[in-house]
Amino acid sequence: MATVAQPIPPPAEASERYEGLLSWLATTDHKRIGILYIGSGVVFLAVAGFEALLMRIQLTLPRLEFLSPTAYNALFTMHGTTMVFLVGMPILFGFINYVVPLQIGARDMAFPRLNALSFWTFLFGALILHFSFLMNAVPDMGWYAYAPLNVRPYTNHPGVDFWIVSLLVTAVGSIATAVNVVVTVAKLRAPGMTAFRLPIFTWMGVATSAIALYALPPLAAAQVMLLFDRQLGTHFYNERMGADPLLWQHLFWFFGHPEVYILILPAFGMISEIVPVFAGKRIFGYPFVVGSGIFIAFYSMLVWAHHMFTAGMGFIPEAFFGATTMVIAIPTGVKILNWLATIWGGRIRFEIPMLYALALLVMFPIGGVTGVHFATVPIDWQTTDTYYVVAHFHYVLVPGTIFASLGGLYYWFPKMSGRMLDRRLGLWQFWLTIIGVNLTFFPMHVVGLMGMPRRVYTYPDLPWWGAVNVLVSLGALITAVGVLLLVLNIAYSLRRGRIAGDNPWDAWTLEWATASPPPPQNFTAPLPPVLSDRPLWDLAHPVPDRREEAERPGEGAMAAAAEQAGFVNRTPATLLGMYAFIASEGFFFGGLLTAFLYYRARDGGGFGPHDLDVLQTAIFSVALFASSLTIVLAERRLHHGDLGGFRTWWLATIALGVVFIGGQLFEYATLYGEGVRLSTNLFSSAFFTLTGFHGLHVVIGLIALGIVAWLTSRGEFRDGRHAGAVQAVAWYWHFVDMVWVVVFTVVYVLGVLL
Amino acid sequence: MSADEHELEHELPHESLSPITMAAGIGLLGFGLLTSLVFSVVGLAVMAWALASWIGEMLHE
Repeated sequence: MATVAQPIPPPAEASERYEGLLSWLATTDHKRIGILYIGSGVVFLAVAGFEALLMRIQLTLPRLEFLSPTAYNALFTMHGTTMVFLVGMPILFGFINYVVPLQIGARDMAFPRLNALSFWTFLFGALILHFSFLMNAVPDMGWYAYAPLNVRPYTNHPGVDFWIVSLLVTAVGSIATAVNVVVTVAKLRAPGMTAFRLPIFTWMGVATSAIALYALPPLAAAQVMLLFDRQLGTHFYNERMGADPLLWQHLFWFFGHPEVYILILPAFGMISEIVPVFAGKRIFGYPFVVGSGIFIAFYSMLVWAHHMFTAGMGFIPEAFFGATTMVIAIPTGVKILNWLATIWGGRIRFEIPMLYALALLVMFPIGGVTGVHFATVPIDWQTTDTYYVVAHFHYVLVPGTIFASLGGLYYWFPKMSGRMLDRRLGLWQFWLTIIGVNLTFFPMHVVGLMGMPRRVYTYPDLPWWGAVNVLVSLGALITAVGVLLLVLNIAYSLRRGRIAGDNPWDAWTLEWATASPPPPQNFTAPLPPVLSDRPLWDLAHPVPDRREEAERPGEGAMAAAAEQAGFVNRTPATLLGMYAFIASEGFFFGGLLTAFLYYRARDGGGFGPHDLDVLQTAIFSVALFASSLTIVLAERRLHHGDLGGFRTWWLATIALGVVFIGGQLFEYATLYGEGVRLSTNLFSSAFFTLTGFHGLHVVIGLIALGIVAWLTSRGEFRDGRHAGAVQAVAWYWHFVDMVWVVVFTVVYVLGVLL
Repeated sequence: MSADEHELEHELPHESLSPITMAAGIGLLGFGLLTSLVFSVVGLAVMAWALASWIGEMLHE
């Protein structure tokens, strides 16, 4: 790896086609997109906060009638959904968008247009959700939308449908962002920035993206099946047709619990940036802070069912998920101990970002410890659906996600705007927030242990319940004043704030090596050499052999292994992005396959696997399998510069794909003629949904193949141009084939054999 | 990766309305499922237009 300062070419010309508002609508600049995410998140925070205040007014005293039960249900559903999907995720993805390319010394994200698409799909999804207010069809079944409450006839109004579609649309953006972040960090790091020299916030951005890639698609699959139940008459969650409502809970919480870590890991990344800078010390135990984050990212897919202990899963699953849940507290504890060790003996500067980091260190463990309580099954049985749960997850998400985001905002606002946020207003806001949040959520532990149920619009006048709830509502009001002060501070400081300069905090990572705010191309001066995880500190404290000093145990071996493999370096960004997308798609089909297998074992008679024509399907499956071979031959021809051969084999691939789709349509038509419908029984619902979605993917693949064929006819792929795009389409096609290998085996072959 | 490779492989794209148009198409497609399929058809058309525009921009870089 080069370790010398690198030259920066002049900025790309003619990037400013639009002015004013249009320039924001058309922007592909990661910094502007990051600001759009954060700004939107703050607007939705105000909306969700207002909803919370309405709920708190209702709950201030026993038996109040300020809100109807229906309105209360709608408010807690919208508050939860908004806070998770439209506040937490966009604010954190906004910071990742803004900061990560700067931290790794890149000029933008790997796919800037895709980045813009991600933001706008998020925003349109959010608008669809809120359009439900105008349609008088606000979702009111809780943000978890448990079955069978989520299906007809239990919820007949279209609120659930708005909830499903809006979240599906936002999921497109979230998955695209996750792909983008992974490829950006893999491909666009500055020379010298090895794995162990990446800033921890960047590491946590990658870990979060990995979670988004595996956790969001199963939710999308679950939601698609729910939408089909509601709109097309399938039976995935309809217990009257033999469905098991627990299927929804499994799929939802397979997403839902990792989602907590989507909201927490970037927050941990922010704290890992702030604490060392304001303690004046290098982060203690960098490999452990990073390693524990990566461990959490993947291990979090093993803990989902602790949300279901009262569902009656049985002793063994409860013991298993209780144990796995307790274990996940360990890596979180590792981070807390590392931050404490970093602070220990440091020269602490009590600037506002550090105040929020310290507040997190004190308050987040309260939520963490009560989380371990819920891993103990009998305690979970006693406290589930009480305000003790509400207190727990608010202590995780408010001191965790919100405090870290506030710390991050005070930390990076000078970089984003060129001005400092006002310290005096910031201090007022900090203390109001600390007092307000603790007054709101700590008493909930008490009233929860007294037995006050959550999700109920009022409560009886039992001893102390009213008094405790008055405190909680007062705390919510104080917190709201704190939020107003933050908005005031931002508005004031954008105009009158002190000029920040490039590096107002004497921080060490590369975002502080450029102007505040950074120019469109991010860096105008040569990047400093990256010899450790704090290049600006190294620059200010040169020693004769910095490389040796900076190297950590294992780093040399890891770098050598990476160099030997060279996989990331050799793989075009487009192809790397396709790999990440394919992984995500795999989890989507995993969700559909889970549903199929779940109900395959519950064969209730009628249309079933033995009614499928395996031989006929095998014949058109051969066409699809053969298409993987023809596309490889096409790629080989292209590699040898034989455009004619490439086009021939590519068109053969398209023809084989069309044969497959024709065969599938013929199969559907035959079954339709025999009276089999989506709504016939559980098996037909699962069969048509699984095979139909595969067919849809084949059609999308055919469109992509067709576009490549058309571009070939225009001579676009001469001399290796856009070779990465061709490879990406080919890999997508291989993936579609691989999915069919699994589907054909599970649905048809095993259907006959078993 | 050399310093030059790091910079040269990643040029900044022009500003573009294709992403927001594509997102609007996806949004309309979904919105139509809830209200009227006319919106979904319009959404598909908008997506196709945005895709063509997107590809055109990439080819001209």
